[in-house]
Amino acid sequence: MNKADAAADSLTTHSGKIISVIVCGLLAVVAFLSLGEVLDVSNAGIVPALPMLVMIGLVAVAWKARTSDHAAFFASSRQMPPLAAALAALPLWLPAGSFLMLAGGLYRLGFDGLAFVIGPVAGLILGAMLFTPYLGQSKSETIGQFIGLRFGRLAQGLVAVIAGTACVTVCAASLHSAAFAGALIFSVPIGFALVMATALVAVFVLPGGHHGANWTGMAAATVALVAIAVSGAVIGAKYPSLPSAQLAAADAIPAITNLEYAMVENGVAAAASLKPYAKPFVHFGSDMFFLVLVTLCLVTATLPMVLQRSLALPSRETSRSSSLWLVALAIYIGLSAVAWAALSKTAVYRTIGPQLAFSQLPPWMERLSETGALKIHGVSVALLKRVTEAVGEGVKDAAGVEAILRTSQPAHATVWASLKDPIKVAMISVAEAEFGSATLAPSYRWDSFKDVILPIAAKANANKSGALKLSSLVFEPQALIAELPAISGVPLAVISLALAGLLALPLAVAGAAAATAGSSLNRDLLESTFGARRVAGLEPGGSRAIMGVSLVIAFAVAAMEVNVAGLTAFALVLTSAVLFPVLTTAIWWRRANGYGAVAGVVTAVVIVTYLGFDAAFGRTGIFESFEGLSKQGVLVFSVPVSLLAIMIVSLATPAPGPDSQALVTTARGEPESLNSHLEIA
Amino acid sequence: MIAADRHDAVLSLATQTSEIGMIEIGAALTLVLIATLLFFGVVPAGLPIRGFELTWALAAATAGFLILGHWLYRHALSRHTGETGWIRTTALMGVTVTVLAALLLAPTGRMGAAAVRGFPVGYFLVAYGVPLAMFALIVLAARKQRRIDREDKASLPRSGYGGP
Repeated sequence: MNKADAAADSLTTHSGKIISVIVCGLLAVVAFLSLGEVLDVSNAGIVPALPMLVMIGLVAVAWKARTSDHAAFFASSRQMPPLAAALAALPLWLPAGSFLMLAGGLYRLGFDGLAFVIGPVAGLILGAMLFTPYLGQSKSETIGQFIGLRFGRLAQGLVAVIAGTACVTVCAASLHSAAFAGALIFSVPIGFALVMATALVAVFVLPGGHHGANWTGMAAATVALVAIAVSGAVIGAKYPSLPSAQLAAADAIPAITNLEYAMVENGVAAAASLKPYAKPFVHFGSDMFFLVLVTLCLVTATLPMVLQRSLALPSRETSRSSSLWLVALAIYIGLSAVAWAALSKTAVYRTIGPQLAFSQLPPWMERLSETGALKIHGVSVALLKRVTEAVGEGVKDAAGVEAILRTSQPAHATVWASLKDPIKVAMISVAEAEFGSATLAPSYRWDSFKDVILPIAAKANANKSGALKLSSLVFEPQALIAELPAISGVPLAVISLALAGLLALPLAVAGAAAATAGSSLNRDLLESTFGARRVAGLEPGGSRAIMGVSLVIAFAVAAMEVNVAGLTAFALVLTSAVLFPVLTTAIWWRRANGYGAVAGVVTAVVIVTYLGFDAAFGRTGIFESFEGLSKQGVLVFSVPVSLLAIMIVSLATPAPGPDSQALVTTARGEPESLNSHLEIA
Repeated sequence: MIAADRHDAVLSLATQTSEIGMIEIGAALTLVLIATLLFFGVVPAGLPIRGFELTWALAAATAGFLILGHWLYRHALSRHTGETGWIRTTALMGVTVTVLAALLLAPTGRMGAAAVRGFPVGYFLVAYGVPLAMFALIVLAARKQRRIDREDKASLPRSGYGGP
């Protein structure tokens, strides 16, 4: 065993200590930063401190997990402790690894958003019942290898391509999500944040493959859990009776209902357009809610990265223990997201409920408006800043501003074009005053926005009350959720911790996805083409190279102006449609054979491609995409049909060979003697 | 010793299967029929379940399928002469997945709309109750599976790691 492999092995031996060190270290740094806050250290220094330290810590873990050992590179030598494996898999079920995206969806959809918590939790349980203990017991190093041994090379190759491609898209979506969080925390352009996120993920994955992804994932999840627990406790302390954010939601939900009634009564919200937060099926309808639940359940049960984690466990029993931890922690994260969303909703309603005048907008609205995450009557401080820059280039009229925005900021140009003329005139005049004077107060832009531009914008939009209306507010839910600790007035050190957790999760998912993509698209695909013996000598270097290539492709996809979320949703649904029937029959039906498996894969690909493609790309945003796919009922239709195809074709063709039967016996943990007198059903 | 006891139990089951089996099949089909009627809104007058037909249909269908599954399980055991670990594992998986499906379906009924004096009880039942019930389900399933593995000695040597 060389030095790197010994270091990688020491992670397994000392996993409990590592978790303890991370937890205690984070708490100590929070205490230290709190001291800095008391001593008036600048805010700019405190907030990015912990995210930066966490990134350095994750790089150290990845370096410790570097290995060239074959078994460690692909499956952590099948020695991961259950809790560590559960932590490594924990971020993988979140949409693009983003707690913000989950909580943001819940904020926007209210009751209907609960599908995005219940569905994945059910999926993790379904996966734990049907697949993960048996995959771990099979002693395979990748999912593709298991399918290859059970159903032959063709099925292995098809699954490798589909799962590998899905992982590249998940990696792209997670990089995008990490870049969003990074840009928010470090106040850097999103393009630069994307480059940094990609570089970090490369460091996580390339030296140690799946081993690196597993241990950095474990560390990232630990950070996120501590962040959610600590910030939740501090936010909950604002509610004296219930000292945790998760429990404070019990106060928040009825409060939201009462605030909704109050807003309608005092004219802040219109009864016709207000969608009650706690009322079911106001966004989806019950049939749609059911389809979303089932789709998310099936997709989560067959997430390739989660299945790959199960191969790092030594036995069925440890796999089941790990699943218990995973489900418990996933429920904790899910309920935390429910609480974050409810508390954010309460904060917004409490702010605008008592007819808030434009001149009294709170500072957190200023911060959100500066990033463009809050638009009031269609305008934001971010847009005003762009207009000021355009005026600085010598433009004097609305058409000129639009022309400049079209070349530099297409998204802002669209918003600008939709504004009414009086608003445009007001914004240009404020911009000219700001550009023409060198002695304006720092708050000039915000003061002008709320005192000059907003009243004009409100009048132009038939709001003559001089106060904020609910319908005039458009939030970017993710940014609002990230702002919740600040809105609640928690210390900067805790905000720093929360942001560190939010940044670590998508990076961990991107790492796991890149590692799984690399092993699928290199090892499984080569094995299916040339056979296991011929490619044995190429590993793990070959997979390491393809992991790097996958990461570069994911970076390119994330950087391009494409619908990453729609692409990811489509790829994951396709993967689930293929993997669910194939893995179910591989483990639970001995008579299933390679011909049947290939028929099942082809059936699933045809159905999903035909029904799901338009649904995925005709919309924007991951939630809308899932909704679109659910409308088509793609998975609900595809999985039974594909199962039927496997059964019919398997029964019409010869029974699987002894090697395939022996694999089933091993995976199920049945006595070896069974292989000699198998009864094929 | 355990194996011998189990063998006797299997033989005993075999003799009882045909008699109890008919009762089980009858009960299961009745429950599925009731579920179908409730699903289509056929509710006898005086039965206080108006507005919750889907929930009760779901409960009746789940009970029906569980009884039918139990009969199939006993039938399979009575015909099997070797190790029964995998049959019991399959049965446990069937029960768990059926209950999981029922829990997954439950929020699609009127459960979410339940309210007591304006307090949105339904929201909490769905947001907190359903995930926690799912967790209880997997904990019970894992305990049962551990017992099956132990009794049939089909699992690999224990690693010493524990769950929550």
